Amino acid sequence: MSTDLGLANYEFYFGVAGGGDLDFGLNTNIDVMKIDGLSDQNALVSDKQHHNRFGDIPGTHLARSRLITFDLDVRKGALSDSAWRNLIDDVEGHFTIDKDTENELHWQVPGNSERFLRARCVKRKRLLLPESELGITRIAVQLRASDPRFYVAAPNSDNNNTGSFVVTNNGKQNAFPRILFERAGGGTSVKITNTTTGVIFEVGGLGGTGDLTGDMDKLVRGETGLVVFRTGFNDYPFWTQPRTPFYLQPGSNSITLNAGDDVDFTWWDTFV
Amino acid sequence: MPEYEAVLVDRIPHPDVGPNNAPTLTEIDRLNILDRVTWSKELNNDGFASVSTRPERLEDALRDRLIKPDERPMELWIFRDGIHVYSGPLIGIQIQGQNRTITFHSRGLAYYTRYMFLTADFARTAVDNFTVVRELIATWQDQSYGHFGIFDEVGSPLSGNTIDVDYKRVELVNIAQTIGDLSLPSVDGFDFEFNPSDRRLYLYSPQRGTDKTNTIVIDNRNLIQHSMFMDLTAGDFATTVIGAATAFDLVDGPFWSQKTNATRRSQFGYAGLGANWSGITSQATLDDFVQAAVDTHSNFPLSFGGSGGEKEGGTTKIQVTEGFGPLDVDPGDTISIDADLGFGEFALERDVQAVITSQDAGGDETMSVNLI
Repeated sequence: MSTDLGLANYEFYFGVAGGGDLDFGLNTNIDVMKIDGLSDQNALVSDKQHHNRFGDIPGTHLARSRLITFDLDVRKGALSDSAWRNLIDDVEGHFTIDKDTENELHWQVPGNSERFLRARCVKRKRLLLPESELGITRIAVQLRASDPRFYVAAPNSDNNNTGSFVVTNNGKQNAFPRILFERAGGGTSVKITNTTTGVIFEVGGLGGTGDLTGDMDKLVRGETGLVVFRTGFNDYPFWTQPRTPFYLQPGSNSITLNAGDDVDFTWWDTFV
Repeated sequence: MPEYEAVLVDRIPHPDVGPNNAPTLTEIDRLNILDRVTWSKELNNDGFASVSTRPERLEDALRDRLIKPDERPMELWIFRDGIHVYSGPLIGIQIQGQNRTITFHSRGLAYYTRYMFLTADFARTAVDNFTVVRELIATWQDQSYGHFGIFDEVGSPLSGNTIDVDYKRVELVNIAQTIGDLSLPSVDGFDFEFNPSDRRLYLYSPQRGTDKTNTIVIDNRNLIQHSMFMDLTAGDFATTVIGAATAFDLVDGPFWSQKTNATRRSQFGYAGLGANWSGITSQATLDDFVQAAVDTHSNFPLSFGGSGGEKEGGTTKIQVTEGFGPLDVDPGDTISIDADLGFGEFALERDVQAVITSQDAGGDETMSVNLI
């Protein structure tokens, strides 16, 4: 497995990194013959009919989930018959319908750092022909990514910030960070302001001590679990309205720590 | 696109007897991934809200609560771009297996008064009707576990309309029903509304509302669903109205009155409509009501939004746009409609009874206004 060391160019993996994942692409016996939809964008159109006029009343357009098709050739090459059959089973075993868990699809192309999105297999197809017994079996899989955004695989971090400081998002979309306030000195509130965008994250009326996490990444992806918390405490009710998810816009962001001892950021440069 | 947030709130009733023993209200957690949010603000009514989400996306803290909502009651609060637009008790939870959705149904804060009754006789003489309303609620809320966290308006302003009431507990006096009766125009009533944020009861005498006919104009550019009905049916259209009324005390009266729109009678002919009122206190009051009725029923027989019957009003759906949304119009306001929907341009003014706002999973927000 190459995943623990990072992917080489034109390599992919799908599954749980470091174990249980499937590598494919260059340097494997699974050739990627075609990728369709990885960079597409589609909108959920909600324009409404415009009475007695041409056209519509413009509504909100949201990005749809991403649908990606891979045509994979599983080559026998120098493999024994049993190893080849086992590899085919392995490919099909990884691309199966999953009820509720999205897996990471990673890829690496020359000139870019490794990227990923989270997706589930929604369709798989294998056509059996005489030639598929001759050493190449074509398996087509379709993946659906509910969150169409790409993330850079290696997260950025910027820690122990106090006062005013600058954080840079090298992506092309807003990045939603995990924010960790260190509260060694106690206090009942934490607050940061992104003076570039005007967005504020503030939690007030905190009892007790302990570092406080604001997980904006989990929040905007609709994951379950605590998003504003100290260990063992759900502090979501203390998050001050308006609870606008805190984000880093592409480029530099000037941040001010208004309350709290210091603050750490972890974020993934984001693309779509 | 506005950002909606729905939060479930823990309500722990207070055991003590006496005023100001409000329940403890604590936010539990958010509802994840809102499929659909609908909420209303209504005058002289409970109002409602419903929120749909995915059962598998429920936070554990919420999931644990749902199995026994009678033992651990909750409220639903809705925030729109951080503004608290709705509060009310959770009164129903619906799970639809086929679509894998869970829907939380709530009614507005006024709904709590439906749980309230008089357990002792209640008589007041020459007391302001606003004070009567507040005291009716207090008689229940001052009891052990009886406080639902609804409060009087700051300063408890008065209407200036003093009334006599004498309610007997054997009449099974429901507070919501009684407030509704006291609010009626026939007894010089009022408009009422609970504020979702400060949870106070706001009373308006005689009516709530701002004239927004110059600032809010519904026209072809924002109307997305409507129906119009020209209504000349007997019983809805008339050039003369004949009214009869029984008196409040059943001693005076009965009263009888007739008012005619002479101009319309000369155009349409002599067409009558009969109407009854109850609780009228004098001949002059009935004359006023009959005059108002003939003014309404003899003019412009257009039902807008409803399926017929101009006086019933109906729902008109409007696209929420950048400059106009549900926070710009309140129940009781008067707005304009100026549109050409098929038989020529027309303009009219209507009062808003309710504003119902919905946002679907696609982010699209629409607003329906019920017009009177």
